[in-house]
Amino acid sequence: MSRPHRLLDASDSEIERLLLRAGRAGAPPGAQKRALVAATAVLGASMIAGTGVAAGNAALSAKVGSFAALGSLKWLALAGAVGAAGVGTVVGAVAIQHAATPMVSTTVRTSATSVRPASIARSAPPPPTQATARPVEAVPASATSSVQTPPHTASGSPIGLAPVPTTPSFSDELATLDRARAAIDVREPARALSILEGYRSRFPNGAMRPEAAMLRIEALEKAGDHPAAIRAADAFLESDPATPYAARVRSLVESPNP
Amino acid sequence: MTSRDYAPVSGVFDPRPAASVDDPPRAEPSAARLRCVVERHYDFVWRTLRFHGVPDATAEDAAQQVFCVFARRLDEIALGAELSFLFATATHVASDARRTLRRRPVTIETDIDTLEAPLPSPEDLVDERRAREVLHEIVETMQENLRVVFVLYEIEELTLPVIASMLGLREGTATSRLRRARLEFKSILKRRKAAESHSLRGART
Repeated sequence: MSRPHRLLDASDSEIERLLLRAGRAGAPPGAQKRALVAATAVLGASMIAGTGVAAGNAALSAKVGSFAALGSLKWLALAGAVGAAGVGTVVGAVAIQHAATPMVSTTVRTSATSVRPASIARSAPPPPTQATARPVEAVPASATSSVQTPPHTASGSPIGLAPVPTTPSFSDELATLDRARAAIDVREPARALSILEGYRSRFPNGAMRPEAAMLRIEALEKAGDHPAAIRAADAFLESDPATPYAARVRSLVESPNP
Repeated sequence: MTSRDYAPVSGVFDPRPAASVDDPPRAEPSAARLRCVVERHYDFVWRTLRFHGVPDATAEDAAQQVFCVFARRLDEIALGAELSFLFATATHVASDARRTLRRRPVTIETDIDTLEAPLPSPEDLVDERRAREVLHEIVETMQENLRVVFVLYEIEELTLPVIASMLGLREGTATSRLRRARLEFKSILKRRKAAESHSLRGART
């Protein structure tokens, strides 16, 4: 079967060529793409997706309003939600701020969806998760646990309400947590804990303290210090019982990875 | 297969982003895969959403939704099938978005703008953004099964065998749909040109 020419190459209509050329040149603004890439670097796919987990996502029905409400702020939230029956709980979320905007965190709450069996290669995916997303005042502050470390000095106030200086500390935060994530992944929890301790010292009011606390709990589990992980998790949940990370934190200490 | 830099639709998946092959490999393969897929296919997903009726203002959020679904299903998606999965997910997300939009009140002005707008002149279409708007308007009025093939072939520059594979069609069917899609595209253009002539005649009288 001969390959048909592309209309852009073969058409004798100037208008057709102009339209198709413009269509091919269409590209989104790059900021969100960069933020998505950064999010995968920080938390990793497993934390985003989780095991038997339904990912959170921003619902189209809500996003227009939420983004409009944020005005010029541009936010991205990736979330993982435990797919328990009924409404899932968001367990992993990272708010990524586009450059040069004040720091306000976003939480995504989702409904859980059933995960269809595999054999996805050529099959259509399920209808996307019907979810609602709403910008929340703030993601709760990170855990104030003090396991193996001096007491956490953070005030416990919700992060994000006070503008946080953006550049370059936000990138540094991301990079630091990325290193911690990588250390956990290669089973070097002691190094991860050291990096996270450095994070706590360097960014006492960091925008990603909840994420750092979660990584710390995971690192403690990987280090085999289950009691310390339990204490850290308890402190985390006690500091903010409504944290969207609650289910994830519980799963970390209830079913620690070997 | 295409002039665009898509990951292979079949074959061994290389988790390294094309632009950073010298980077040390990431410890978690799934994270590397997700990252690579976002880097390579984000633009494709965004365009797919736009050509399936998602407004510009909400396309980024819809793209995020697509990649969240992808992340959730990452371990189930066969290596090399990423583009197919993303495309199918994006069309589902776009469908939801269109339903949401339909539930909103639509102004009469919008209807008239969409249906009766004369085709801009070539001079106007030199403005790429404007040309893209017109293209979206035209493509959105095409039949769904023809639009899909048209966009994948003419805009995304995929080959017909790949398109057929992605859509679960025989190659001959994909070819036939492309032919019909082109006829429909030209027909819509023709109607809009006629509307333009009518508009000009009305302006003179």
